Amino acid sequence: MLSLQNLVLKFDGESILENINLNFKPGEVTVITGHSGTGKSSLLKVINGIIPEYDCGDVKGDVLYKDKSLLGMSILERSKFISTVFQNPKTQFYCINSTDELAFQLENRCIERNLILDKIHYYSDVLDSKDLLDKNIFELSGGEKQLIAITASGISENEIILLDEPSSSLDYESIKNLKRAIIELKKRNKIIILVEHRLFYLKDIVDKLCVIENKTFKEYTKEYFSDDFFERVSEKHNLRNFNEIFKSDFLNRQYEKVDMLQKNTPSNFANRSITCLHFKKTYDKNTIFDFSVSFNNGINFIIGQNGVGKSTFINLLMGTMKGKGEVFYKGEKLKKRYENIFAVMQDVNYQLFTESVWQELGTVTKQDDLKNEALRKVHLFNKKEMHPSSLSGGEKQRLLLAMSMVSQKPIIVFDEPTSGLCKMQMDILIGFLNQMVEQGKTIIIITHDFEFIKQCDGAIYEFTK
Amino acid sequence: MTIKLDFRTKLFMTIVLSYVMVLGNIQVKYFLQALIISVIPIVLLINTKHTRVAIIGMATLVFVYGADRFLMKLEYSPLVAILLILVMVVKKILPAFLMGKYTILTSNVGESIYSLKKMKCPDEIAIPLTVMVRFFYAARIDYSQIKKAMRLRGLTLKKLIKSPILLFEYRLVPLLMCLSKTADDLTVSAMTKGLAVNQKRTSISESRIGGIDCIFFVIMVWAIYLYIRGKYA
Repeated sequence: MLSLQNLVLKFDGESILENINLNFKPGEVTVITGHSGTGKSSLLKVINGIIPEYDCGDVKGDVLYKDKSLLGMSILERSKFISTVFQNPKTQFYCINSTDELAFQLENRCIERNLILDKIHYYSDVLDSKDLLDKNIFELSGGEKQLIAITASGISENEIILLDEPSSSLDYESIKNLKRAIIELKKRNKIIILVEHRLFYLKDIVDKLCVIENKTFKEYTKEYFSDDFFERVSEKHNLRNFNEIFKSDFLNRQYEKVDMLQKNTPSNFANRSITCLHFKKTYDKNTIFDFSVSFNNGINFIIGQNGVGKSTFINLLMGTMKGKGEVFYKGEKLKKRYENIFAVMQDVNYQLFTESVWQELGTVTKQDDLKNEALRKVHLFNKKEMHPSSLSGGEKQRLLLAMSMVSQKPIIVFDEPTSGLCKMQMDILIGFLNQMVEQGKTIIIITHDFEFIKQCDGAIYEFTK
Repeated sequence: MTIKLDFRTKLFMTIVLSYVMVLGNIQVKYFLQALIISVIPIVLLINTKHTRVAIIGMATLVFVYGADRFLMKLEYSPLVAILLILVMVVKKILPAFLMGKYTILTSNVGESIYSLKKMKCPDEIAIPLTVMVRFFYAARIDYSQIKKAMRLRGLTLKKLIKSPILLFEYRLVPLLMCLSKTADDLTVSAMTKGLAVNQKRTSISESRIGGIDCIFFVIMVWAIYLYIRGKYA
């Protein structure tokens, strides 16, 4: 059993978590949720030792595992029984080849080659990641990467498995695989601790739900779980929905299925604001897509499975990738597409270039009053002298939103804007999107997040093949 | 059939090719042999299906050797001399560059640490070396993302060419931010997976010097022989 006793966590003298008492039993799935910045991820870091060994932080109280205190142990010592699946699939791997990555931890433990191969064989079979063996990890999709990370934690046969927002950039199919993998690990009597905003896939596997609020935990054990429990809890703490949302829930909205391999030009393009004509992209002689599509003013959601070609389509639309096709905006052909399109990509860290929030806005407009107004709108006015990289993820995204508002560009593209956002931040985002629609902008959003689509009005385009 | 070379062979070949081809005068004295040696990394690249790199490498090779022949026939002029020097530099560096590329593309982290350890290379050198390879891989991805993001913000080369410092800053600031984060994340991921200095470790890749390695060793010895003969005989 893993237990936290009177745990207090402080950053720079300011406490983030106070007097946490919690027990985690083998074979139980504990879900920790709460608003962004409440210290959920930090708690995982205290357990696996990253705080205080790598990140600064002041830990008081105790973390006990099998009646031994973990606080005196290094990350390395703890790695013998704790595995962590991190939020960002890009950098959580040490190797480039997937089989190598799966073997890496056991190689470090000096386990014999054949035994390692047996374990890889066994766990990739159980966790359904057999097809992913011996591939370049960077060429896998987000869901596949996350599955490799989970398989690696299974192979390590560690008793404690920590997962930090594993679903944040996954589509529904991948989330199903993730859920299946968690169930398999649960069967093997692991202590599983998940930090998560998206809760719908966890409803029937969670044994204990913890909500962080006001620096402390509200703990709900299985005995509480009645029929309407999840709805009450999500309302009370303003959490995201526990109920799965299906495509069929959107039938009363404008819903178009777009076949990405169908060359025909539909006739209803005439009155629409953006038309992408004869978009074609091939890769290694395979046609990724060859189709035409058009969007109305307002919000347009693009959904579809991972790997269907949504991102490639968006890149071609923005002109950041070579390929065939023409873009028309209100009947006029766009020559320099990037002059008309503002993009908020998934990893906002790449998109901020200057030394302060104020200068960042200065790259879009020179008018000070516009800048001030936009900053007030996104609640960043008091942070205008700060360095963009010192902002939190949600704040960085809001800064980009402010830039898209002051820019004169009529088209705004978002790639997975809700990944890593809590309910509150999602609601704020939706508010801004509606403001932009009022400004007359056309918004195109790639997303896997059906809850977000449900909360936000707009047309839905399902890309299929 | 895919040729599987041991990491040590690849490392040896990279070192020999860079030394012999860059510092020697094989290209002048033994035209055919130099061409054969230059083609080796390309053959290896094709063999491991890195066709794109191989084609670019081959095209460059044919071009520089062709250009060399052509320029030699022309009458002397400063321009021809400059072009000749350029062609010569590419001719010398290309094989080493392609071989290095091959080594990076086909080696994996576990295998290279294991091989280096077998060569009695201390952990303090072996681990940073492999981290470096991994880090460059991440850096390349980061850099292309940043270039893309800048383009979308209208911060194009054309606009910023007049203020190179700004261009430098816009590219470098986010890159450094991303890289320092990448470095942190990589360290953490290695630590939480139990990588440590001076511990015994195994490897799933069979690190053995086989027959095929010996053949390439012999070829490299031949290259060294040509180098010595070309220089001193």
